[in-house]
Amino acid sequence: MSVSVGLTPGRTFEATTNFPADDDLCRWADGLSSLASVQGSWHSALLRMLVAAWLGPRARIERFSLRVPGSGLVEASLHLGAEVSEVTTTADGSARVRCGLWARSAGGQVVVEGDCEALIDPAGGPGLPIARLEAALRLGEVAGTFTYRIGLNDLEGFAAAIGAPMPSDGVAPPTYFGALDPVERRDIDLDAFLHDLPFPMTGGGNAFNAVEYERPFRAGDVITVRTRYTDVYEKRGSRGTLLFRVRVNEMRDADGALVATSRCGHVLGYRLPSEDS
Amino acid sequence: MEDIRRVSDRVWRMLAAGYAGVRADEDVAVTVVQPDPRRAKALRSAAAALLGREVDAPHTYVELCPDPIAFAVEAGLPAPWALSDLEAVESTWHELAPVPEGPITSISRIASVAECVAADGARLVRVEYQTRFTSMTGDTVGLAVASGIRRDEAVA
Repeated sequence: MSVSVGLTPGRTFEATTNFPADDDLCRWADGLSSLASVQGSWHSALLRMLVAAWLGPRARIERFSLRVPGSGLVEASLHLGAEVSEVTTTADGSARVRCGLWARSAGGQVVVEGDCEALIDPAGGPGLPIARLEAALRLGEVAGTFTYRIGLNDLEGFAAAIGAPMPSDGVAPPTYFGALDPVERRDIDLDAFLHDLPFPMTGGGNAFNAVEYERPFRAGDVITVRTRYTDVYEKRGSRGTLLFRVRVNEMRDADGALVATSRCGHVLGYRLPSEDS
Repeated sequence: MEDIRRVSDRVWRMLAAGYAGVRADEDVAVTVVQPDPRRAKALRSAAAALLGREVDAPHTYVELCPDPIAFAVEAGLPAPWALSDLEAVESTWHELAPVPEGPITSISRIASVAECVAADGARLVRVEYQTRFTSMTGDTVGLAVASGIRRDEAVA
Protein backbone atom coordinates (compact mmCIF):
# COMPACT_ATOMS: atom_id res chain seq x y z
CA MET A 1 0.00 0.00 0.00
CA SER A 2 1.04 3.60 -0.27
CA VAL A 3 0.73 6.15 2.49
CA SER A 4 0.11 9.83 2.23
CA VAL A 5 3.78 10.72 2.50
CA GLY A 6 4.50 8.69 -0.61
CA LEU A 7 6.37 5.76 0.92
CA THR A 8 6.04 2.48 -0.90
CA PRO A 9 8.05 -0.75 -0.66
CA GLY A 10 11.18 -0.53 -2.74
CA ARG A 11 11.60 3.19 -2.24
CA THR A 12 15.30 3.78 -1.64
CA PHE A 13 17.15 6.66 -0.06
CA GLU A 14 20.92 7.08 -0.26
CA ALA A 15 23.65 9.50 0.69
CA THR A 16 27.39 9.33 0.38
CA THR A 17 29.61 10.65 3.11
CA ASN A 18 33.26 11.47 3.04
CA PHE A 19 35.03 10.14 6.06
CA PRO A 20 36.92 10.79 8.23
CA ALA A 21 38.38 14.09 7.00
CA ASP A 22 35.64 16.03 8.63
CA ASP A 23 35.53 18.66 11.37
CA ASP A 24 32.10 17.41 12.37
CA LEU A 25 33.57 14.04 13.22
CA CYS A 26 36.18 15.65 15.45
CA ARG A 27 33.47 17.52 17.31
CA TRP A 28 31.49 14.30 17.58
CA ALA A 29 34.47 12.42 19.04
CA ASP A 30 35.13 15.18 21.57
CA GLY A 31 33.35 14.16 24.74
CA LEU A 32 32.37 10.74 23.49
CA SER A 33 33.06 7.83 25.80
CA SER A 34 36.64 6.69 25.30
CA LEU A 35 35.31 3.15 25.13
CA ALA A 36 32.98 3.85 22.24
CA SER A 37 33.85 3.29 18.63
CA VAL A 38 34.01 6.78 17.16
CA GLN A 39 33.32 5.58 13.66
CA GLY A 40 30.62 3.09 14.61
CA SER A 41 28.80 5.53 16.86
CA TRP A 42 29.00 8.23 14.22
CA HIS A 43 27.54 5.97 11.55
CA SER A 44 24.74 4.91 13.86
CA ALA A 45 23.73 8.40 14.92
CA LEU A 46 24.11 9.84 11.43
CA LEU A 47 22.08 7.08 9.83
CA ARG A 48 19.35 7.53 12.43
CA MET A 49 19.20 11.24 11.62
CA LEU A 50 19.14 10.63 7.89
CA VAL A 51 16.35 8.09 8.19
CA ALA A 52 14.21 10.58 10.08
CA ALA A 53 14.79 13.15 7.35
CA TRP A 54 14.11 10.63 4.59
CA LEU A 55 10.87 9.38 6.11
CA GLY A 56 9.62 12.90 6.71
CA PRO A 57 8.19 14.84 9.61
CA ARG A 58 5.11 12.64 9.98
CA ALA A 59 7.15 9.56 10.78
CA ARG A 60 8.01 8.61 14.35
CA ILE A 61 10.77 6.04 14.53
CA GLU A 62 9.93 3.48 17.18
CA ARG A 63 12.73 0.97 16.75
CA PHE A 64 16.14 1.33 15.18
CA SER A 65 18.49 -1.67 14.98
CA LEU A 66 22.00 -1.92 13.62
CA ARG A 67 24.48 -4.75 13.34
CA VAL A 68 28.18 -4.42 12.77
CA PRO A 69 29.13 -7.54 10.83
CA GLY A 70 32.87 -7.05 10.90
CA SER A 71 35.56 -5.01 12.50
CA GLY A 72 35.41 -1.27 12.15
CA LEU A 73 36.75 0.00 8.87
CA VAL A 74 38.27 3.35 8.15
CA GLU A 75 36.88 4.25 4.78
CA ALA A 76 37.37 7.29 2.60
CA SER A 77 33.69 7.34 1.80
CA LEU A 78 30.59 5.44 2.74
CA HIS A 79 27.23 4.97 1.14
CA LEU A 80 24.47 5.28 3.73
CA GLY A 81 21.04 4.14 2.73
CA ALA A 82 17.58 2.92 3.57
CA GLU A 83 14.99 1.00 1.61
CA VAL A 84 11.33 0.76 2.51
CA SER A 85 10.62 -2.96 2.78
CA GLU A 86 7.08 -3.01 4.13
CA VAL A 87 4.18 -0.64 4.70
CA THR A 88 1.21 -1.89 6.69
CA THR A 89 -1.84 -0.30 8.20
CA THR A 90 -2.38 -0.56 11.93
CA ALA A 91 -5.72 -0.95 13.64
CA ASP A 92 -6.06 2.79 14.19
CA GLY A 93 -5.30 3.59 10.57
CA SER A 94 -1.69 4.57 11.04
CA ALA A 95 0.90 3.37 8.58
CA ARG A 96 3.72 1.25 9.95
CA VAL A 97 6.81 1.48 7.78
CA ARG A 98 9.71 -0.92 7.94
CA CYS A 99 13.04 -0.11 6.32
CA GLY A 100 16.28 -1.92 5.74
CA LEU A 101 19.36 0.15 6.57
CA TRP A 102 22.98 -0.04 5.52
CA ALA A 103 26.34 1.64 5.35
CA ARG A 104 28.62 0.27 2.66
CA SER A 105 32.15 1.07 1.64
CA ALA A 106 32.91 2.30 -1.84
CA GLY A 107 33.84 -1.29 -2.67
CA GLY A 108 30.46 -2.57 -1.55
CA GLN A 109 31.55 -4.05 1.77
CA VAL A 110 28.85 -3.82 4.43
CA VAL A 111 30.07 -1.78 7.37
CA VAL A 112 26.73 -1.49 9.16
CA GLU A 113 23.37 -3.04 8.39
CA GLY A 114 20.06 -3.14 10.16
CA ASP A 115 16.44 -2.16 10.03
CA CYS A 116 13.95 0.18 11.63
CA GLU A 117 10.25 0.62 12.15
CA ALA A 118 8.41 3.88 12.06
CA LEU A 119 4.83 4.92 12.52
CA ILE A 120 3.29 7.52 10.27
CA ASP A 121 1.27 9.89 12.40
CA PRO A 122 -2.40 9.60 11.40
CA ALA A 123 -3.19 12.84 13.23
CA GLY A 124 -1.08 14.60 10.68
CA GLY A 125 -3.85 14.10 8.18
CA PRO A 126 -3.23 13.77 4.47
CA GLY A 127 0.12 15.24 3.59
CA LEU A 128 1.55 16.59 0.42
CA PRO A 129 1.61 13.95 -2.33
CA ILE A 130 5.39 13.70 -2.42
CA ALA A 131 5.50 10.64 -4.68
CA ARG A 132 3.31 12.30 -7.29
CA LEU A 133 5.37 15.47 -7.08
CA GLU A 134 8.54 13.48 -7.58
CA ALA A 135 7.07 11.90 -10.69
CA ALA A 136 5.92 15.25 -12.05
CA LEU A 137 9.39 16.72 -11.57
CA ARG A 138 11.05 13.59 -13.02
CA LEU A 139 13.19 13.40 -9.93
CA GLY A 140 16.75 12.30 -10.68
CA GLU A 141 16.31 12.50 -14.45
CA VAL A 142 17.43 15.29 -16.73
CA ALA A 143 14.41 17.57 -16.85
CA GLY A 144 15.74 19.71 -19.66
CA THR A 145 18.83 20.86 -21.56
CA PHE A 146 19.20 24.47 -22.68
CA THR A 147 21.95 26.43 -24.40
CA TYR A 148 22.64 30.11 -23.75
CA ARG A 149 25.09 32.45 -25.45
CA ILE A 150 26.52 35.06 -23.10
CA GLY A 151 26.99 38.41 -24.75
CA LEU A 152 28.80 41.41 -23.32
CA ASN A 153 25.53 43.30 -23.38
CA ASP A 154 23.98 40.55 -21.21
CA LEU A 155 26.72 41.01 -18.64
CA GLU A 156 26.44 44.79 -18.73
CA GLY A 157 22.70 44.62 -18.23
CA PHE A 158 23.13 42.19 -15.36
CA ALA A 159 25.83 44.29 -13.72
CA ALA A 160 23.67 47.39 -13.98
CA ALA A 161 20.73 45.56 -12.44
CA ILE A 162 22.70 44.43 -9.40
CA GLY A 163 24.79 47.58 -9.05
CA ALA A 164 28.07 45.86 -9.86
CA PRO A 165 30.93 47.44 -11.82
CA MET A 166 30.62 47.07 -15.56
CA PRO A 167 32.56 44.00 -16.73
CA SER A 168 34.96 45.74 -19.09
CA ASP A 169 37.13 42.64 -19.13
CA GLY A 170 34.22 40.51 -20.24
CA VAL A 171 34.23 38.47 -17.02
CA ALA A 172 30.79 37.92 -15.54
CA PRO A 173 30.07 38.82 -11.91
CA PRO A 174 29.95 35.70 -9.70
CA THR A 175 26.20 36.01 -9.21
CA TYR A 176 25.68 35.62 -12.93
CA PHE A 177 25.76 31.85 -12.41
CA GLY A 178 22.25 32.28 -11.05
CA ALA A 179 21.13 33.96 -14.24
CA LEU A 180 21.48 30.76 -16.25
CA ASP A 181 18.87 28.84 -14.33
CA PRO A 182 16.30 27.52 -16.84
CA VAL A 183 13.62 27.43 -14.14
CA GLU A 184 14.07 31.07 -13.17
CA ARG A 185 14.25 32.00 -16.85
CA ARG A 186 10.92 30.21 -17.36
CA ASP A 187 12.45 27.96 -20.01
CA ILE A 188 11.21 24.94 -18.15
CA ASP A 189 8.09 24.62 -16.04
CA LEU A 190 7.23 21.37 -14.39
CA ASP A 191 5.17 23.03 -11.70
CA ALA A 192 1.76 22.83 -13.30
CA PHE A 193 0.95 19.95 -10.99
CA LEU A 194 1.21 22.27 -8.01
CA HIS A 195 -1.83 24.23 -9.14
CA ASP A 196 -3.94 21.10 -8.65
CA LEU A 197 -3.00 20.63 -5.01
CA PRO A 198 -6.16 21.03 -2.96
CA PHE A 199 -4.51 23.10 -0.24
CA PRO A 200 -4.32 26.88 0.18
CA MET A 201 -0.85 28.24 -0.50
CA THR A 202 0.53 30.41 2.28
CA GLY A 203 3.67 31.71 0.60
CA GLY A 204 6.88 30.71 -1.01
CA GLY A 205 10.12 31.82 -2.52
CA ASN A 206 13.75 31.07 -2.92
CA ALA A 207 15.12 28.83 -0.18
CA PHE A 208 18.81 28.63 -1.04
CA ASN A 209 21.31 28.82 -3.87
CA ALA A 210 24.81 27.42 -4.01
CA VAL A 211 27.30 27.23 -6.83
CA GLU A 212 30.60 25.45 -7.34
CA TYR A 213 32.53 26.76 -10.31
CA GLU A 214 35.67 25.93 -12.21
CA ARG A 215 36.00 29.33 -13.84
CA PRO A 216 33.87 32.45 -14.27
CA PHE A 217 31.60 32.96 -17.25
CA ARG A 218 32.98 35.24 -19.92
CA ALA A 219 31.35 37.18 -22.73
CA GLY A 220 31.25 34.94 -25.76
CA ASP A 221 30.73 31.73 -23.79
CA VAL A 222 28.13 29.33 -25.12
CA ILE A 223 26.88 27.48 -22.10
CA THR A 224 24.73 24.36 -22.09
CA VAL A 225 22.73 23.83 -18.92
CA ARG A 226 21.30 20.48 -17.88
CA THR A 227 18.70 20.67 -15.15
CA ARG A 228 17.78 17.84 -12.78
CA TYR A 229 15.48 17.87 -9.78
CA THR A 230 17.28 16.00 -7.03
CA ASP A 231 15.08 16.23 -3.96
CA VAL A 232 11.49 16.90 -2.98
CA TYR A 233 10.56 16.94 0.68
CA GLU A 234 8.22 18.51 3.16
CA LYS A 235 8.83 20.09 6.54
CA ARG A 236 6.57 21.42 9.20
CA GLY A 237 6.92 25.16 9.54
CA SER A 238 5.37 27.73 11.85
CA ARG A 239 3.10 28.81 8.99
CA GLY A 240 2.06 25.43 7.69
CA THR A 241 3.64 22.64 5.73
CA LEU A 242 6.57 23.60 3.58
CA LEU A 243 7.31 21.92 0.26
CA PHE A 244 10.93 22.07 -0.85
CA ARG A 245 12.08 21.30 -4.39
CA VAL A 246 15.78 21.13 -5.07
CA ARG A 247 17.31 21.25 -8.53
CA VAL A 248 20.84 21.03 -9.85
CA ASN A 249 22.07 22.84 -12.96
CA GLU A 250 25.18 21.49 -14.63
CA MET A 251 26.76 24.16 -16.84
CA ARG A 252 29.27 23.21 -19.57
CA ASP A 253 31.00 25.29 -22.19
CA ALA A 254 31.09 24.68 -25.94
CA ASP A 255 33.97 22.22 -25.48
CA GLY A 256 31.94 20.21 -23.00
CA ALA A 257 34.10 21.28 -20.06
CA LEU A 258 32.29 21.74 -16.78
CA VAL A 259 32.17 25.42 -15.86
CA ALA A 260 29.88 25.35 -12.85
CA THR A 261 27.26 23.37 -10.95
CA SER A 262 24.55 25.22 -9.11
CA ARG A 263 22.10 23.88 -6.59
CA CYS A 264 18.88 25.76 -5.99
CA GLY A 265 16.08 25.21 -3.55
CA HIS A 266 12.60 26.65 -3.75
CA VAL A 267 10.01 26.50 -1.02
CA LEU A 268 6.23 26.76 -1.06
CA GLY A 269 4.02 26.87 2.01
CA TYR A 270 0.64 25.15 2.26
CA ARG A 271 -2.01 25.03 4.93
CA LEU A 272 -3.19 21.47 5.18
CA PRO A 273 -6.61 20.55 6.59
CA SER A 274 -5.02 19.08 9.71
CA GLU A 275 -3.40 22.47 10.39
CA ASP A 276 -6.66 24.40 10.37
CA SER A 277 -7.59 25.45 13.86
CA MET B 1 42.17 -6.51 33.13
CA GLU B 2 43.10 -10.13 32.68
CA ASP B 3 43.51 -11.39 29.16
CA ILE B 4 41.34 -14.49 29.04
CA ARG B 5 42.39 -15.70 25.65
CA ARG B 6 44.53 -18.35 27.30
CA VAL B 7 42.78 -18.84 30.60
CA SER B 8 41.70 -22.15 32.01
CA ASP B 9 38.34 -23.78 31.41
CA ARG B 10 37.45 -23.00 34.99
CA VAL B 11 37.88 -19.27 34.51
CA TRP B 12 36.13 -19.42 31.14
CA ARG B 13 33.13 -21.15 32.64
CA MET B 14 33.03 -18.60 35.42
CA LEU B 15 32.98 -15.75 32.93
CA ALA B 16 30.39 -17.43 30.78
CA ALA B 17 28.11 -18.24 33.66
CA GLY B 18 28.50 -15.20 35.81
CA TYR B 19 30.29 -12.67 33.66
CA ALA B 20 33.05 -12.10 36.18
CA GLY B 21 30.71 -12.33 39.10
CA VAL B 22 28.01 -10.02 37.84
CA ARG B 23 24.58 -11.56 37.99
CA ALA B 24 22.38 -10.71 35.10
CA ASP B 25 19.45 -8.50 36.00
CA GLU B 26 20.69 -7.76 39.50
CA ASP B 27 23.59 -5.35 39.17
CA VAL B 28 22.80 -1.97 37.69
CA ALA B 29 24.64 1.25 37.00
CA VAL B 30 22.80 4.53 37.14
CA THR B 31 23.90 7.79 35.56
CA VAL B 32 22.33 11.08 34.56
CA VAL B 33 22.83 12.19 30.97
CA GLN B 34 21.82 14.97 28.63
CA PRO B 35 22.34 15.48 24.90
CA ASP B 36 25.68 17.11 24.24
CA PRO B 37 25.03 20.33 22.24
CA ARG B 38 28.44 20.21 20.57
CA ARG B 39 27.99 16.66 19.34
CA ALA B 40 24.38 17.36 18.39
CA LYS B 41 25.50 20.30 16.29
CA ALA B 42 28.21 18.24 14.59
CA LEU B 43 25.73 15.53 13.73
CA ARG B 44 23.19 17.92 12.26
CA SER B 45 25.86 19.73 10.33
CA ALA B 46 27.02 16.48 8.74
CA ALA B 47 23.46 15.38 8.01
CA ALA B 48 22.70 18.76 6.46
CA ALA B 49 25.75 18.48 4.22
CA LEU B 50 24.64 15.04 3.07
CA LEU B 51 21.04 16.04 2.51
CA GLY B 52 21.81 19.46 1.13
CA ARG B 53 19.32 21.06 3.44
CA GLU B 54 18.99 22.27 6.98
CA VAL B 55 18.35 19.58 9.58
CA ASP B 56 16.53 20.69 12.70
CA ALA B 57 15.72 17.22 13.97
CA PRO B 58 15.07 16.64 17.67
CA HIS B 59 17.55 14.69 19.77
CA THR B 60 17.47 10.91 19.46
CA TYR B 61 18.42 8.06 21.77
CA VAL B 62 20.98 6.93 19.21
CA GLU B 63 22.60 10.32 19.58
CA LEU B 64 22.41 10.11 23.36
CA CYS B 65 23.78 6.58 23.53
CA PRO B 66 25.36 5.75 20.17
CA ASP B 67 27.36 2.78 21.45
CA PRO B 68 25.16 1.08 24.06
CA ILE B 69 27.79 -1.38 25.26
CA ALA B 70 30.40 1.33 25.74
CA PHE B 71 27.74 3.46 27.42
CA ALA B 72 26.84 0.73 29.91
CA VAL B 73 30.46 -0.10 30.66
CA GLU B 74 31.31 3.55 31.14
CA ALA B 75 28.33 3.79 33.48
CA GLY B 76 29.97 1.18 35.67
CA LEU B 77 29.09 -2.27 34.41
CA PRO B 78 31.92 -4.77 33.97
CA ALA B 79 33.51 -5.79 30.71
CA PRO B 80 36.17 -8.42 31.25
CA TRP B 81 37.27 -8.16 27.64
CA ALA B 82 38.31 -5.32 25.47
CA LEU B 83 35.15 -4.15 23.73
CA SER B 84 36.95 -4.38 20.43
CA ASP B 85 37.17 -8.15 20.98
CA LEU B 86 33.40 -8.46 20.81
CA GLU B 87 32.09 -9.71 17.49
CA ALA B 88 28.73 -9.39 15.81
CA VAL B 89 27.66 -6.45 17.92
CA GLU B 90 23.99 -5.67 17.45
CA SER B 91 22.35 -2.58 18.90
CA THR B 92 18.68 -1.69 19.06
CA TRP B 93 17.15 1.53 20.27
CA HIS B 94 13.49 1.56 21.26
CA GLU B 95 12.09 5.06 21.20
CA LEU B 96 9.07 5.01 23.47
CA ALA B 97 8.76 8.79 23.66
CA PRO B 98 10.74 11.76 22.36
CA VAL B 99 13.99 12.51 24.18
CA PRO B 100 12.78 14.68 27.07
CA GLU B 101 14.08 18.08 28.01
CA GLY B 102 16.37 18.21 31.00
CA PRO B 103 18.33 15.52 32.79
CA ILE B 104 17.64 11.94 31.77
CA THR B 105 18.35 9.06 34.08
CA SER B 106 19.95 6.00 32.55
CA ILE B 107 19.78 2.63 34.25
CA SER B 108 22.14 0.10 32.72
CA ARG B 109 22.25 -3.60 33.47
CA ILE B 110 23.52 -6.81 32.01
CA ALA B 111 20.36 -8.40 30.73
CA SER B 112 21.79 -11.80 29.92
CA VAL B 113 24.93 -13.83 29.59
CA ALA B 114 24.80 -17.03 27.60
CA GLU B 115 27.41 -19.50 26.51
CA CYS B 116 27.25 -21.76 23.50
CA VAL B 117 29.57 -23.70 21.24
CA ALA B 118 29.94 -22.78 17.59
CA ALA B 119 29.79 -25.35 14.82
CA ASP B 120 33.56 -25.27 14.59
CA GLY B 121 33.85 -26.05 18.29
CA ALA B 122 34.78 -22.56 19.41
CA ARG B 123 33.30 -21.37 22.65
CA LEU B 124 31.06 -18.35 22.38
CA VAL B 125 29.71 -16.07 25.04
CA ARG B 126 26.92 -13.70 24.20
CA VAL B 127 26.44 -10.76 26.52
CA GLU B 128 23.51 -8.41 26.36
CA TYR B 129 23.62 -4.98 27.93
CA GLN B 130 20.49 -2.94 28.36
CA THR B 131 20.09 0.71 29.26
CA ARG B 132 16.73 2.17 30.15
CA PHE B 133 16.19 5.92 29.98
CA THR B 134 13.71 7.64 32.24
CA SER B 135 12.47 11.20 32.34
CA MET B 136 12.47 13.41 35.41
CA THR B 137 8.96 12.14 36.15
CA GLY B 138 10.21 8.56 36.20
CA ASP B 139 8.60 7.48 32.95
CA THR B 140 10.57 5.11 30.77
CA VAL B 141 11.12 6.99 27.53
CA GLY B 142 13.69 4.89 25.69
CA LEU B 143 15.68 1.72 25.73
CA ALA B 144 19.04 0.84 24.23
CA VAL B 145 19.89 -2.83 23.98
CA ALA B 146 23.13 -4.21 22.62
CA SER B 147 24.68 -7.62 22.49
CA GLY B 148 28.11 -8.79 21.55
CA ILE B 149 29.66 -12.19 21.10
CA ARG B 150 33.09 -13.13 22.43
CA ARG B 151 34.62 -15.99 20.54
CA ASP B 152 37.43 -17.85 22.16
CA GLU B 153 39.30 -20.11 19.78
CA ALA B 154 42.15 -20.68 22.22
CA VAL B 155 40.16 -22.73 24.69
CA ALA B 156 37.98 -24.52 22.16
